[in-house]
Amino acid sequence: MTRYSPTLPFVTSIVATLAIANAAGAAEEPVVPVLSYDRPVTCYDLADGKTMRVQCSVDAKGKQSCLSAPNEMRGTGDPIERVLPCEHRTAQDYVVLGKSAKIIPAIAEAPPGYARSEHGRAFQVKFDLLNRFYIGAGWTPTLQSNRGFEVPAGFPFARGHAELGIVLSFLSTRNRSRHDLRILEGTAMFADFEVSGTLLAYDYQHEHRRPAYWISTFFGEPEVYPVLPRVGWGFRILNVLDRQPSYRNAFDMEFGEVHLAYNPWQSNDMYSNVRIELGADVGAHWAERSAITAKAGNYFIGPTLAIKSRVSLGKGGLHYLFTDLQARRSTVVSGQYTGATVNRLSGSLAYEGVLIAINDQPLSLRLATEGRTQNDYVRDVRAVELRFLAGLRMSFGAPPRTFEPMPEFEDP
Amino acid sequence: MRSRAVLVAAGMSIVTAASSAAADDRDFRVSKEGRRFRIQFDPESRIRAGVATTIARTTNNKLGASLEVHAGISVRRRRAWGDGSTRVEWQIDHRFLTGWVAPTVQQFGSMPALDATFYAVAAHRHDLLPRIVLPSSPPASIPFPFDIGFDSEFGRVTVTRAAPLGTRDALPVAFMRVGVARATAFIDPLRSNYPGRSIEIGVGVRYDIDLFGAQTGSGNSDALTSPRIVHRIAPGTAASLRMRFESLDGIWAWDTRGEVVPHWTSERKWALGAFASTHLERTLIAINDEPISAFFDAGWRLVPSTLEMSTLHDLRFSLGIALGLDLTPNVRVVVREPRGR
Repeated sequence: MTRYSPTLPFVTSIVATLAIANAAGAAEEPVVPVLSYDRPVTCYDLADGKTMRVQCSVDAKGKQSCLSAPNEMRGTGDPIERVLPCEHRTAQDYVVLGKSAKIIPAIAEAPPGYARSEHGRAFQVKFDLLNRFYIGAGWTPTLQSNRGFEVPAGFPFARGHAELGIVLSFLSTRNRSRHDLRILEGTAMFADFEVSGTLLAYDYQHEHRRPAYWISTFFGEPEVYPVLPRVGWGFRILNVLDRQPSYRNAFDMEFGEVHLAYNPWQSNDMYSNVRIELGADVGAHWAERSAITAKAGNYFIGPTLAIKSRVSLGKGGLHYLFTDLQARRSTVVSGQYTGATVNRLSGSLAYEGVLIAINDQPLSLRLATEGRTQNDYVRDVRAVELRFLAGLRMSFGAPPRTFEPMPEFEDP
Repeated sequence: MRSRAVLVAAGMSIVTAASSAAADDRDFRVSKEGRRFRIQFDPESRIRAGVATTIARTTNNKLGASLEVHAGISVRRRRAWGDGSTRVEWQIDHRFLTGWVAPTVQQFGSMPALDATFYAVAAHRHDLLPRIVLPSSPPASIPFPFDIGFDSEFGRVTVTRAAPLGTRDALPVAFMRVGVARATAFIDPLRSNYPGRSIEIGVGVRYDIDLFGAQTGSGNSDALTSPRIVHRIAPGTAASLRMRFESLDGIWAWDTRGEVVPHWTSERKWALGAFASTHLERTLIAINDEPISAFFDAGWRLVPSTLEMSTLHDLRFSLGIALGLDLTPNVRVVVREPRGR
């Protein structure tokens, strides 16, 4: 039976759970029993107008004991939220129950991903950061090699960033697949103002158990072999890359990218994964970011490669590690630099951990390092930029991290 | 109400037909995992799309390599009447939009080299006890140790890789052949009991139209905007030999055909054309029972000396891979009731 510590702080409208991991650890301390969310609850309406939520059980000796929790918030007296519907009984029934069973004071049940304080407040303790709208800001010290390039003002330490985005992730248990969406993700850096972002990105992955293909061979006795490639796919629409390290007055826009993807490793629910993507993109490069016209664009096309991973540490969804390595080789097919090919390489390593939650909306710390390099279209020299990000992200709408059971096989 | 009854009856008949069209189990095997997979194919029932590397004779009498895209739809249907010695089987092979195109080889203008046939049909009659009946009194029956059939094609367009050259100046001229129609009646001394195996000795008719560009040295050799047209008619003078072989499981297929065509031309003279081709195909693997095969394809064409041009030899060899959508019918041979009066 889950128990909960009475020492958790509670403020009426702000549940500040600094170091929620510690709180989760504290949740293991055996203090006050908690009603189970997996069993039915009976509500007894008492004569004083209050209601008690009761769950009874019979031990091996046939002795009945019942956990009894108030149905109202301590202090305000408001009905508690996020509880199971219950069958109502009278105060007289509660008196009869008290004579036949041992009544143990308890805390009301809470749904998966939530805990309940002894005051009655249900608060979120697990977070799914793959489903949220977030805004953030932080400090961005930036280093850049200066091989013939002017190092902009603000480098290396006087830089900051602001960011926002919507990320969504849908698990289809019936199809044993996951759909990931990133919408309107963007970052602005200053001083030496630059922006980058993506309008829409979609990725599909699956953990199918039915073979996708059966390959028959006809050398000697015919044989057939099941093929179950863990292959997904995805695309990006409108990805803006501003102020490349070696050509900081330029503006780069990827109109679209489409890729096939292979996940060499993924967790059962595909929440965590390692992903290799191979695709192609089209876009345009403007040498002068102040003169972005259709005529001045250098339109490019080329292959793309990405190796990514995302790992949720633990089961609470409180700590995440992200890595991303991308390579693109774009060839200009129309414009001033027609025929020129440029290599672009970028990578990032990021940690994000939930610090506190305000009204169940998590505030997380994000620490990241990012590097990127690319050729200059004109001079064919290369500069490398390395930056470090330390900031806070406020997330909205992040549901509890849940673990839905998956069927043995996906629907045919 | 009546229309509803008609609909129900139609539905029932469809269900009945579907249930009677169970697949031939010899075409399939069940793997250890329980997967039922196809091990026998009908190579003449397939939609193909493939690519090939080709080496071909060029206009300047050298060899050039290029890429070819092959495609085609072929459908075979077999029907039989009678049993035992009275059994007669017809094998009818249809081909639609079949041929190849070499997009990077452009002999004139932006027209790529190609050889494509709009529709072809070949019918082969196999009789276990073939006889010729003479309508004498009483009728006389004479043994006839051949299967018979016919082979025809309609709308074949060919743009050769090598252009014909002027006899005097050796300058190339744009050239395209439109094979309007060809029909060949043949006998088959092989008389194989197995499908796709035959030696077809035939004679037939054909009508081709050759389009030539402007006369060499007098106009633009790169265009067929105002073609000079030469009609060619073979009035039953086209002699042909075709040999076909298919393994019993349909994994191997070979088809070779040669034709010698003495014909009358619109230049008011007789000329001699010739054509030969061979196609060898081996199914390598199948993905979800859809076959992927390797093929070798070669062809030679003789265009006789015409107008001011010298004789043209068009020669090519291709080696490629084709993806197929299998159309092997569930019932290989549909048995019909013997015909009667």
